[in-house]
Amino acid sequence: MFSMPTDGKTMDDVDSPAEDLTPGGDVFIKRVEGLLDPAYRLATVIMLDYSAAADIVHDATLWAWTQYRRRGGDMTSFRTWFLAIVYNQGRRSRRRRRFALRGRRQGLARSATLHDALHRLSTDTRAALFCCYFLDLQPEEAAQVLGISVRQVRSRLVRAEERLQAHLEWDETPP
Amino acid sequence: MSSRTLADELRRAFATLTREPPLQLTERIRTSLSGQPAPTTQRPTFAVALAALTAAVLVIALVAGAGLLEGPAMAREVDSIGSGLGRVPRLLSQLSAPRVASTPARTLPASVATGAAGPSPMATAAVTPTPEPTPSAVAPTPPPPGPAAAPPLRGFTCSVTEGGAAAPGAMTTARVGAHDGYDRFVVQFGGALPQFTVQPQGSATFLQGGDSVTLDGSAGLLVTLQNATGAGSYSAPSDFRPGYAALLEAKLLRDSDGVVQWAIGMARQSCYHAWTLDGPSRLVIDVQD
Repeated sequence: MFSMPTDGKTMDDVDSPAEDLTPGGDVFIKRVEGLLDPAYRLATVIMLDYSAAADIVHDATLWAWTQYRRRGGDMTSFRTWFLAIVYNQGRRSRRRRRFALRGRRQGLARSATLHDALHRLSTDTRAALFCCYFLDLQPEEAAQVLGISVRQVRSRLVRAEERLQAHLEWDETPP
Repeated sequence: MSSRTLADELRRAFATLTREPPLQLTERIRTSLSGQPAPTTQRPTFAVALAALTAAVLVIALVAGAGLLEGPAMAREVDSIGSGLGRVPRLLSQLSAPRVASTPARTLPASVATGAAGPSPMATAAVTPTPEPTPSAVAPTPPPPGPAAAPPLRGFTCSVTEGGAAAPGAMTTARVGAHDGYDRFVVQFGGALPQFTVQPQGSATFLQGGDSVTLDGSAGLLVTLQNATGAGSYSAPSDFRPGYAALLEAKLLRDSDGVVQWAIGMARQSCYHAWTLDGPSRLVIDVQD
């Protein structure tokens, strides 16, 4: 559902350890660009704001660069590591905007679409759904991105699915 | 409803909720990273330097105390240690470079927003190489209330605008579009353009039928048209969410009792230009990018 890295490489290749750390960080930039689409979409799911999502991804990338240099490019999975940084950056930023977002949740009329129902979910639940359903991450990978246990990931998914299932059934009821 | 259907619905919903990253995001990241210092060997941390300074002070104190008993020979030793101590502040100044937020202001430089090649002076000036940016330093700050950060373009304003005629207007359509330097909202009428008011506000929360509704963005414009209606004549969507750089959402709040209201959610406090066209009558609102 998101853009794969170009030049024929697979996501596994993106996760392979860097062979070379060039002074300009070209290797790092290429790895980030291969994940820019899922990272930006994840940030959008968190912030519900395209402009803010771009800021989140930009800031997270700069932070990731400093960590990447310290670790010498050595991490188990660059994908989950980078998405976790984006997720944390988004959560921190969203907490600062809590007042504006509270208005959104209270102001929404009874939703008639799954789209609106997703807005009503908590950020963490929405992000868990996005990681597993859209990014097709395994629960273990989603747990790394979200910074929670696998059990918590499954629990959030189950609760969200129950709510959304009921919503879909209501949506399909003839007037 | 099967779980497989829910999965498909969720994928579709997320595909609608999100979109591909804008092209200028890649350029923005590359520009910012190119301003970062190249990776070098590990430099001593501030804590290590502070510890060295403390140790040197203690040694000086001990030697100075001994010098009172030992005389001139020990005083010469104190001088040599003192000259070495003078190098420590230079080391500290190298490590304590001022921490500047490594993100530019929320208003993107025009060259970046329009995808022009090369970094703009604003982008270069705003990004200062820092050894260890912290999450709080790199996180964007919310836009301040009040006037927009960028100076208004010619013809743009950040205050209330009024216009139109005292004639009834039948709203027929509305649309949004992105342009170079601004995003545009247009509402079209059959017949004359009714009286209108455009009012900026510092949030994207509006009143709709007694309830509050929050649009995308962090600032807003409330467009009110008197003696107007779209009943029987309006055929366009009632909610636009283009997610442009400046104009994020335009929503029809009210169409009743002869009053039509549109709410515009803006990415940040921006100046705007409200103007009119004939043939057909249109109210055009350009939101500065």
